[in-house]
Amino acid sequence: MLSDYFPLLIFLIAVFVFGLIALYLPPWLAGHLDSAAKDLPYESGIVPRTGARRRFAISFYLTAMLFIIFDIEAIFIYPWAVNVKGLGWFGVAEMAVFVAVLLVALIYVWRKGALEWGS
Amino acid sequence: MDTLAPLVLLTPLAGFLVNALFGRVLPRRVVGWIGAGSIGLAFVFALVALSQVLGGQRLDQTYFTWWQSADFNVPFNLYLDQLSTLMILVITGVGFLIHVYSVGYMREDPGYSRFFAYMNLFVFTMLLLVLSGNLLWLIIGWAGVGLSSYLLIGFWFERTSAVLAARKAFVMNTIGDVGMVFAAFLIFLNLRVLDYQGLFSRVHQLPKGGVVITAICLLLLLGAVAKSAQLPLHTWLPDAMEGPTPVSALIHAATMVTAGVYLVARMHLLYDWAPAAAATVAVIGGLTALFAATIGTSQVDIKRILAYSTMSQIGYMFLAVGIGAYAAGMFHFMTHAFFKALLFMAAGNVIHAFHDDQDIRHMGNLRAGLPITFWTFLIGTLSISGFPLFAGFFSKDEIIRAALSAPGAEFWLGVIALITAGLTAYYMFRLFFIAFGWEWLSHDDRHLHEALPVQTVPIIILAVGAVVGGYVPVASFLSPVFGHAVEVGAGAFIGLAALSVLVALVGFLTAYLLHARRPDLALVWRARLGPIHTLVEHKYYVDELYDRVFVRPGLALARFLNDIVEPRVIDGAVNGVADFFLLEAREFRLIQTGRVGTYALWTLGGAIGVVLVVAAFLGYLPVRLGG
Amino acid sequence: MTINISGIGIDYGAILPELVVAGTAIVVLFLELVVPPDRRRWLAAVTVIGLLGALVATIPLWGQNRSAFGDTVIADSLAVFFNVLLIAITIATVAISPRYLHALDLDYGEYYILILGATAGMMLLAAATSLMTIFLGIELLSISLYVLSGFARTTLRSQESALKYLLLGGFATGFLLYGMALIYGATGSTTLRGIAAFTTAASSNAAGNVLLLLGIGFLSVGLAFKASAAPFHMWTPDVYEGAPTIVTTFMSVATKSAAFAAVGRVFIATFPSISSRWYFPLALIAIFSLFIGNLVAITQDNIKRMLAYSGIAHAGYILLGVLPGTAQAFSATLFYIAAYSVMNFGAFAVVTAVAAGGEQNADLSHWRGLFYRRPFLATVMTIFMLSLAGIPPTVGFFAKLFVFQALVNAQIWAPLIVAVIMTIVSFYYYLRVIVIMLAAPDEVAVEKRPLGIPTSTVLGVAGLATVVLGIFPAVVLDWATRAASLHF
Repeated sequence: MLSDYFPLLIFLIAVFVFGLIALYLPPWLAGHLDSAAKDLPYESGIVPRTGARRRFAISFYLTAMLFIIFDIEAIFIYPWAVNVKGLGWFGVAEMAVFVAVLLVALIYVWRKGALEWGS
Repeated sequence: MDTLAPLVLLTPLAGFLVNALFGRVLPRRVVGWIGAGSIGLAFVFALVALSQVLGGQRLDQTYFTWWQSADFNVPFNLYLDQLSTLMILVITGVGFLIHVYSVGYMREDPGYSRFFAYMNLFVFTMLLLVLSGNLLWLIIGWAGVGLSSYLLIGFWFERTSAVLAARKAFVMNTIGDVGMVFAAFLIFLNLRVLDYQGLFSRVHQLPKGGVVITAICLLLLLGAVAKSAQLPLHTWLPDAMEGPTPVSALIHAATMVTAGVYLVARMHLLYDWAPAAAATVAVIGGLTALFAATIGTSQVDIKRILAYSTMSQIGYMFLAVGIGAYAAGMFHFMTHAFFKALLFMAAGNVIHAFHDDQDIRHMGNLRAGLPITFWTFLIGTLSISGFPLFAGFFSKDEIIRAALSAPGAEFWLGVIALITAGLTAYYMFRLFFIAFGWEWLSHDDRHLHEALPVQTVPIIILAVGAVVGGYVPVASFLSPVFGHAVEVGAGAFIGLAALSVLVALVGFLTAYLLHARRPDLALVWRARLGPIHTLVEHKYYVDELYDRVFVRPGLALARFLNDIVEPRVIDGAVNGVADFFLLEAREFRLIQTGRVGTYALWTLGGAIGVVLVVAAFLGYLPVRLGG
Repeated sequence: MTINISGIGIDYGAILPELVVAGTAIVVLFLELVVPPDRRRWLAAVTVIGLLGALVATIPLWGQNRSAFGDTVIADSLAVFFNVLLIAITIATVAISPRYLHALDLDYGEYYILILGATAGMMLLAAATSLMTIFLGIELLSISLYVLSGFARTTLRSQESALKYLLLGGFATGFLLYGMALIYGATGSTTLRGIAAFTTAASSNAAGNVLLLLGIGFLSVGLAFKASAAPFHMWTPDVYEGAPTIVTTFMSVATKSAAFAAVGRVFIATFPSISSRWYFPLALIAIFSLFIGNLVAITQDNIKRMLAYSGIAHAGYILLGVLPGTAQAFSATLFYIAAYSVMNFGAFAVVTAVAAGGEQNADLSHWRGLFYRRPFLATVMTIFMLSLAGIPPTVGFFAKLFVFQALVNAQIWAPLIVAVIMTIVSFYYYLRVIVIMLAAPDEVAVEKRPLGIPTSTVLGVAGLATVVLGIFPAVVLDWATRAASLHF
C-alpha cells in the first residue's frame, strides 16, 4: 500500500532538488559583487530612514479583523445565490436568519465603537 | 401496608430533620410538639399496621435497590411481621410517652431542640433496625442507634463524666458492631444473600451445628451482647446514666438495649440451627441476670440501681431466647418496657424534686410530696418484682417456667432465674423503702413539688400498662413467627407460679425487715458480710479488671507503639514512601516551566509517542504490540 | 419537522437545544447594547431563562435515535445526558457569576455571550456524529474559552493564560485536523457511520491501515488535549491559574465532559472492531494522566493549580472507563463524569467564593483556618475534597468503584493497579486542604462577607448532591446505563 505513494516521494525529491538549483545556480553562474548599496531595500530610490518594523495603531488590526469576518461571511452568500432557485423559500428564510445574525453582530460592533478610528 | 411501613419510618425522620435544621429558630413549644408529635403519628401508623397484621397481612417489600454489583445485591426492603409489629408498637408507643414526658422534663434545658432532634433520630434508627428486611440495613440501624445513644449520653457535653461515659458506650458498642459486620461477611460468603427471606430459606444448606453457623451466631451474639449490656460487655450501661433521665428511660431501658433480644429472636432460625450458640445466649443471660441483681442490692444511686435492674431483666430475656422460648422473651420485653420506662421517669421526677441529687439515702417524704410519682413507682416496683396479677409476674413467670420445665442443664438456669427473682424483689423494695421513705423514717418536712401533669400523665398511662400488660396474649400473637409454645400442665403451672411468688415474697420481706422495720439490722449484716459486700458494692471490680487487663496494657502498648514503633518503623516506612513521592513530585513539577515552547514540545513528544505506538502495532519497530 | 433537500434531511428538532442556547447568545448580545451597565445582572437572568428553555427542549429527545443533517448530528440519550449535565453546569456557573464578576469589576455582558457560545459548542460536540461537527463543536467551545481565559483584561496573569491556551490549543487543533484528514483519506468518509462501516468491512483490513491508525492517533492527541490528559495537559495548570476563577470553574468541568462525550462516540461506537489498536495508546494516556496529575498535585501551593492537576488525574480515571470498550463500562465513565462535574464544580465554586476577595486568595496559605472564618464554605469544601478523594459516603467513592469494577470485569489489570496506588497518593493533597482549613487561624477575624442566595444555594445543592448520590447512586447510574447504549 505504501508503494502507491512512491511517485509522491519522487515528486518531493524533485521539488527539493529544483528549489536548491534555483537558489544556488544563478549566483554561482553570474558571480557576485558586494557593495553597501546592494544591501539597501531599494537599490535605486528613497533612502529608508527608519526600520521596516513599524508599529501600527491597534485600530488597524481591529478593522482588518472585522473586515475579514464579514468578508468571509459574505462569500458564503455566493454558493447560496447559485442554488437559490432549488432551495426555494426555505433557502430564503435560512439566508434571512443568517443575515439577521450578521446584522446583530454589525450593530453590536458599531455600537461598541469598534468602527471609530482613534478617539 | 406497603406505604404504611415507610410512613412509620419516615415520620420520626421528618421530625429529626425539622428539629435539627430549624430547631434553633423555632419556638420551644413548636419544637416539643414536633418532637413528640412525630412519634405519636408514627404510633398511630403502627396501630394501623397492627390492625392489618391481625388481619393476616405481612410485608416484605423492596422499595429500591440500594446497590447491585454482580451477585452482591443490597435492596432496601422492609419486613413487617408479628415480631416487628410488636417492636414498633412498643418503640413508638412508649417512645411517644417518653417524648411527652421530656417536654416537661427538659423544659429548662438550653439544648431543648438538640435534645428532641437526637431523640427523634434515635427513634428513626431504632425503627430502621427493626423494620429492615436485610442484614445490611439492620447493621446501619444498629450503628445508628449506637450513634444517637452516644450523642444522648454525652448530651451534657460540658460534663467530663458524661463525655467519658458516652465514649465508653461507643467503644463497647463498636466491639459489637464489628462482630455484626463479620457475621454479615460470613453469611454472604457462605450463602450469597443478605436479605432475611433468602437467609431463612437457605440457612439449612449449612451443616447443622457446624463451625460456620456457630461462628455466625456467636458473632451476632457479640453484637447483641454489646448493645444489650450483657456480660462481659456490660460496663457501659451504668455509666450511660449520665444522660438525661428520659434518655435512660427510652434508650437504656425500654428500647435500644433490648435490640440484642430482638436480634436473636429475629435470627431464631439460625440459632435453632446452632444449638451451641443458643446455649451460650442462655448462659450469658442467666449469669448476667444474677450478676447484675447482686450488684443492684448494694448501690445507692437511684438511676444506677435501675440500670443494673435493666441489665438483670434483659438477662432474663436472653435466657428466654437462648432456650428457645422466644415468645416468652418478647413478652418480657414488652412488659419490661412498660414498667422500666415508668420507673425511670418516676425516678426522674424524684431527682428533679431533689435538685439533681441521685443518692437514695438523701431522699424521703415522697408520699406526701410527690403522691402520683409515689404510687406509680410502687406499681412499677410491684410489677418488676413479680407480684401476682401485675404484668411482670406473668412474663417473668413464663421464662422461669420455660427454663425449669426444660430438659437437661437449662434447669439450673431456671434455678438461677428463681434466685434472681428473689433478689430483684429485695433490691427494688430496698430502693423503694429508702428513697421513698416509710413514714417513720421521713422525719424531715422538706417541701417537695410534684411534677407537671405533662410529666405525670405519661407515667400514669405506663402504670396502667405495667398492670394490665400481662394480660396481652403476646405468645399467641407471635405464634406465626415462632410456632406454639409447649403447653404445661395446670398442676405444674400453679406449682411453679406459687414458687416464684414465694421467692418474691421472701425478697420483699427481707427488704421490709432490713430497710423499713429494723435499719440497724442492715448495718449489722453489712458488717458481717464484710468483704462480700465490698466486692458487690464495687461491682465485682469488673471495671478495675478491664482497666488492668485491657486499658492499661492497651495504653502501655500504645505508648510503646507511639514512642518506639511509630517513629522508627511506621513513620520510617510511611514517610519514606511519602518522601519518595514528594521527591518525584518535585521533579515532575519541573516539567512545568511556564514556557509555551516547552509545552508545545511535550505535546509534540506525546504525538510522536502515539506514532511510535502505531508503528509498533504495524510491525515497523522491533517491539511488536498486539496481534 | 424534517425538510428534505437533495437527500439531506434537515431536522431542526434534533438540535433544538443547541439552537436555543445559540439564540439566547444572540439575544444577550443585543440586550448587552440596550441594558444600562448597572443592570447587567438582568443579562444573567436572561441567560438562565434561555438555558432553562434549552433544558425543556432537550428532555423529549431522551430515548430517541434521531440522526439529522446527513448523519452529522444525532439526538439520542447520550446527547441528552450530556445536554442536561452541561446545561446544569452552565446554569450553576451563571448563577454564581454576577457577584464574582462585580467584585472583580468584570461585569460585562460579553461574559454571558461567551459562556453561552462555549455551551452551545459543547452540546454540539456531545451530539456530533461526524468529524466535521466534532471539529465545529471543539472550535466553538475553544474559541469562546480562549477569550474567557483572558477576560480579566487588565490582569497580566489572565492575558498570559489566554495566550498560552490559544497557542497550544491551535497546536493541538492542528493534530486533530490532521488526524481527521488522515481518517477521511483512509476511509473516504467523514461521518462516524461511514467510518464504522469501513472499519467493520472485511475487505478493508482496518487494523493494518497506516493512515487510519495514524489518524486515530492524532485524533486522540487532539481530544486528550481538550480533556487535559497527560502528556497533553501542559496548558492546564497555567491556564486554570491565570483565568478568572469563575471561568476555570466552568471549563474544568464542562470542557472535560464534552470532550469525553466525543471520546465515547469515536472510540467505543465507531472503532469497536479495532479496539486492540487504540486500547494501548489510550491506556498509556490514562496511566500517564493518573501519574502526573496525582503526583504533581502534591507539591502545589495554589489551590487552583492543585485542582488543575487533580483534574488531570480525574481525566485519567474517566479514561479508564473507556478502555474496556463496552457500553456497560462506558456507563461507569458517564457516572464518573456526572460525579466529577458535581464535586469539582463545587470545589471550584468554593474557590470562586473565596477568590471574590481577590485572586491572590487562591493561595493555600490564605485558606488557613477557613473553618473559623467561613464555616459554611469550609464545610462544603470538606465534602468536595472527600468526594474527590473517593471516600464514602460521597459520590466520588461510587464513581471510582464503578470504574474499577468495569476494569476488573474486563480483566484490565495494569492500569487498575496504577489507579489504585495513585488514588492513595491523592489522599495526601485532598486531605491536606482539609487540614489547612482546620488549622487554627493566625488571627481570629470573622469575615462577614455574605455569599448571596445564588451562591449558597448552588453550593448547598452541590454539597447535598455529593452526599445523597454517595448514598443512593442507583438513580444516576441507571440514567448513565441507559445513555451509554450508543447509536449512530
